[in-house]
Amino acid sequence: MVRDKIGILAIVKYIVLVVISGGIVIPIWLLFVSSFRQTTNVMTYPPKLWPDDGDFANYIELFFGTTFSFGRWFLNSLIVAGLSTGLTLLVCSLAGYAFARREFPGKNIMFVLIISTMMVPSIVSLIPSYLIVDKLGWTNSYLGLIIPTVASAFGVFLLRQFIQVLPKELEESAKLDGCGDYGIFFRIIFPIIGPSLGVLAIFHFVGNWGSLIWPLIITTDAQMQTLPVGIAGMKTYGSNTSGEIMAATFLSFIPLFIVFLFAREKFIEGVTAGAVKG
Amino acid sequence: MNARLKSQLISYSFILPYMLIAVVFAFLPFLIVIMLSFYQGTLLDLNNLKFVGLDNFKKVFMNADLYLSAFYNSLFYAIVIIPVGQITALTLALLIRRKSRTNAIFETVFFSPIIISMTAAGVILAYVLDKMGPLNYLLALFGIPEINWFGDKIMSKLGVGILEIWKGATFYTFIYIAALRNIPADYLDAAKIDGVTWWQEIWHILLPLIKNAILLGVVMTTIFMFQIYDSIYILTGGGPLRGSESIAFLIYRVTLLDDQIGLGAALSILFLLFVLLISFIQMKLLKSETEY
Amino acid sequence: MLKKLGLLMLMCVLVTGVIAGCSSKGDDGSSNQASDGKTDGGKKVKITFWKAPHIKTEKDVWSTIIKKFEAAHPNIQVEFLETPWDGWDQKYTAAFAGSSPPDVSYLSEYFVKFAKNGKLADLGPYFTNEERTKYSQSVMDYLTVDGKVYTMPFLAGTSVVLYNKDLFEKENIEIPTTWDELLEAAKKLTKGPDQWGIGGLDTLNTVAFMGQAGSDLYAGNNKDVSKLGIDSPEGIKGFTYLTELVTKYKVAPSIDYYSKPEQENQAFYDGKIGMYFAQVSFTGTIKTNAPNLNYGAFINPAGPAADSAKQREAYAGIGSLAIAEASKHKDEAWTFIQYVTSPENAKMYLEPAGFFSPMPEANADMYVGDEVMAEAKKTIEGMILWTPNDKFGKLLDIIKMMRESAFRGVKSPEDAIKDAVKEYEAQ
Repeated sequence: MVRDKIGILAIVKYIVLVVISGGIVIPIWLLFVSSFRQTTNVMTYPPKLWPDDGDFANYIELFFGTTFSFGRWFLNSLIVAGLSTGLTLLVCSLAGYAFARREFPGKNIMFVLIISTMMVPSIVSLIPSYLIVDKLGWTNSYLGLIIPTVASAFGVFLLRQFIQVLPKELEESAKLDGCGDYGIFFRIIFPIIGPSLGVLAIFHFVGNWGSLIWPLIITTDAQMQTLPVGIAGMKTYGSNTSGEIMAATFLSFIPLFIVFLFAREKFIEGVTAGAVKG
Repeated sequence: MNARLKSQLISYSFILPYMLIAVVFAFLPFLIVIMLSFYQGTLLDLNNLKFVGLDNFKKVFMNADLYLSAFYNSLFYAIVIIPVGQITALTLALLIRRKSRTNAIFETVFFSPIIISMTAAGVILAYVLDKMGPLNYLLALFGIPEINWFGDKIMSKLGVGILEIWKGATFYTFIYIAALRNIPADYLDAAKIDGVTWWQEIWHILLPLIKNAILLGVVMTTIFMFQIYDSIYILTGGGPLRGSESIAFLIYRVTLLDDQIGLGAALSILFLLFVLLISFIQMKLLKSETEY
Repeated sequence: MLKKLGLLMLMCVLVTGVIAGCSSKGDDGSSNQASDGKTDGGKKVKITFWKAPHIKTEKDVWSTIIKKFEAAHPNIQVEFLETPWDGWDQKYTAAFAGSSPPDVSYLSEYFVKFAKNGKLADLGPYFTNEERTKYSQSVMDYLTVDGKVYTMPFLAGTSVVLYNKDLFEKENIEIPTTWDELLEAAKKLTKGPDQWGIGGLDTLNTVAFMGQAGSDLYAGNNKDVSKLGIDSPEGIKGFTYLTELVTKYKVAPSIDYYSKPEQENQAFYDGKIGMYFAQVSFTGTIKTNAPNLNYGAFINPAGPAADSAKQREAYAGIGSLAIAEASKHKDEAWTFIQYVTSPENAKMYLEPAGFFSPMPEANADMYVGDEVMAEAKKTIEGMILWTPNDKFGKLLDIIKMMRESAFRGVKSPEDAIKDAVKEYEAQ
């Protein structure tokens, strides 16, 4: 009796999990299939589940055609997301540490100010930010793509939370060993907060990799565009590029996905560690 | 120099890099928006802005019917996406809370939407939800008439909701898994000895123990849901008939498409006040919750 | 003291470290940009040219023209940028609001907004009176903003009705010349679940139908762009006729029938649409996508307008080239514009793209022997251009909403017009 009940529960559990997994995996698979098909065939009814009538034409067009600078977009996304993430980690951990551990006048008000920027929707500051970047002469440059994305309030918040719960003894013993203020940060704190830096890195990188509106507005040169901007721009007037859009979309996340597969534990551990402290 | 001052200076040096960037790209734009809300003009000619006092705000209230629908849509998004997303996330977390080889496979699957960008997720779901797309085909197999996701104000909002949940909900799953796995084993062992049912275990033991994580998840998703805009831009463009416009999308349209920066700035300010109000209410509620 | 200095230095290192960490990367970005305008390897001047695509081979066509131009003008280098239509308005607005707009840009009806706000260079010193006489007076009037001309006409596009000859033959239909005949023909052509009499009833055609009924787009005999003129018995009549094609007679697909414009195009290629209201340049797209389609063209059937010039109103537009006021190389930009707008060079673009020249004389030897284009040519002389309006983007959006709400049956045509007028005037 009891065993039966558990058996049914387990079946229900796996049905739920499999259905939801299907809801995630099947659309991605369909995108993959479509990416090999000619544009005119992408919307067939019933949908194709296997790319047996497809070829690599869309991919060849992306890499070797003259229409899209796909390789360059990819490189730009990599440079922008990579550098932005690196800088964010450094800048936010410094600030997060100060807010968690150090005393200085204006600390609370500054922290509140920073946190409140999280509530300001990005759309609100989009235009003024553009005007500032233009005044600085940073349009169509990596500087303009990277620097404004570095001040992540979420990053400061997350790292402050994390550092706050670290045992104070660590720093105190380091101080006794003659470690200076910066030494404490770079030699004690920075290494310890590795896991939460990992969380921040993953989300900042992923978020930046997918960011659309900011790069759309500040890049006018096709050579400086990032992947999302390029893909969004592929829907050109009077020409039909859906097959190529599917291929570009697929390529835009598959590298990240492969990295994730290899470092799966790290990714999930990272999120786990960060969330527990947050 | 006294030690305290020195220590304070060092403290400032820690926050200086962040503050430098934040001042230029977060606080300054905010001040510019406030300023712009009292002016009228076009993006193209910012040197000739006209001071109009509170005219922009007056315009918003006088033509409120042009803007209210975006407000209702935003509420709709919050009311639908937050509970559905959070319940899905929590359910999944409870189902795969134990570390195991099978669960690792599900973890991998549930993590993938987190990595996929909104642009890519939008392309994928636009294809799936298409009238001639796979979802309608599937529904037809079960005899359900086809759904036109982009031709109806309600359905298109639900479409945006599906995109947001598809792309975003499993993020919270991992927050909850983390919290669940962090529960000290003795709590659970004690429960086992007491012979509680699975339902009692979830309801009386697990959920109360991860209450803080749930509160965090709800606060985060609320902040995000009122800001949604990318998903709308990619999936519906705000349509049909502006039926899926959120407040953020409305501001984008008024500022950039209609080129009414003053009006857009005024809407931004009102939007911001609203978001602050929501956050304030939420914090009050959370406080009374935790006291209890 | 020493400690203080050390502290200061550390702070400096920290800050510069942060900045240096990225500026080395940023340098190649900004140096790229710097070389855009300035001389580069000798005396070569580099100018940028932006255009949104009308055909799939846009880049290839322009690279051919530019190569030819650069051979003739070795001191000028032209960098062509194909800017997508998606987000066009924001992108150009942002670029012109900023400090690095394109030296040369292709502008459609949106040119007024840029001209009015001082973003375009006055072509007065370049565009001589003698040259201006080559264009029709109506085109020059259209391009004149506050007494000055800021743009050089480059292409003319009009609209016609393309029809599937096989379907017409099968149903034994004559070419319709009036609204009644159009409806009759459409009824005969609408068959079964997926064959439609009429397609292509887009936003621009919405204005055309109201025009065919005798309505002006703007108030005050189409002169006062601050108010709309469509809230008139004629406007309502035209819009009602158009709406009923979809909602009452069901001879045109509903708004959701195709989820993308490309699918409607495809339906025309596949013989699922009998008569397709389209811009003439669409024939350029047909050439690449459906080269074997057996189709012809006729001019818009006449509506009930009292003014006979308006009865067959069709959407028409002038695309023109402009120099940015902020450009550092206006002379070189003008050299380029002059080169590409000369009849023999313009033809290299206009013919594959399916456009006409705004220069009446240049059209004589274009599309020789092309039956469809011969019909389309008829529309060029009588073309009615939209009155220049710096709020064009907003207007288009409002008309789009108006059309959609009536086609969906959310509002009656009359209410939809009233709401559109209200929103336009609320600005």
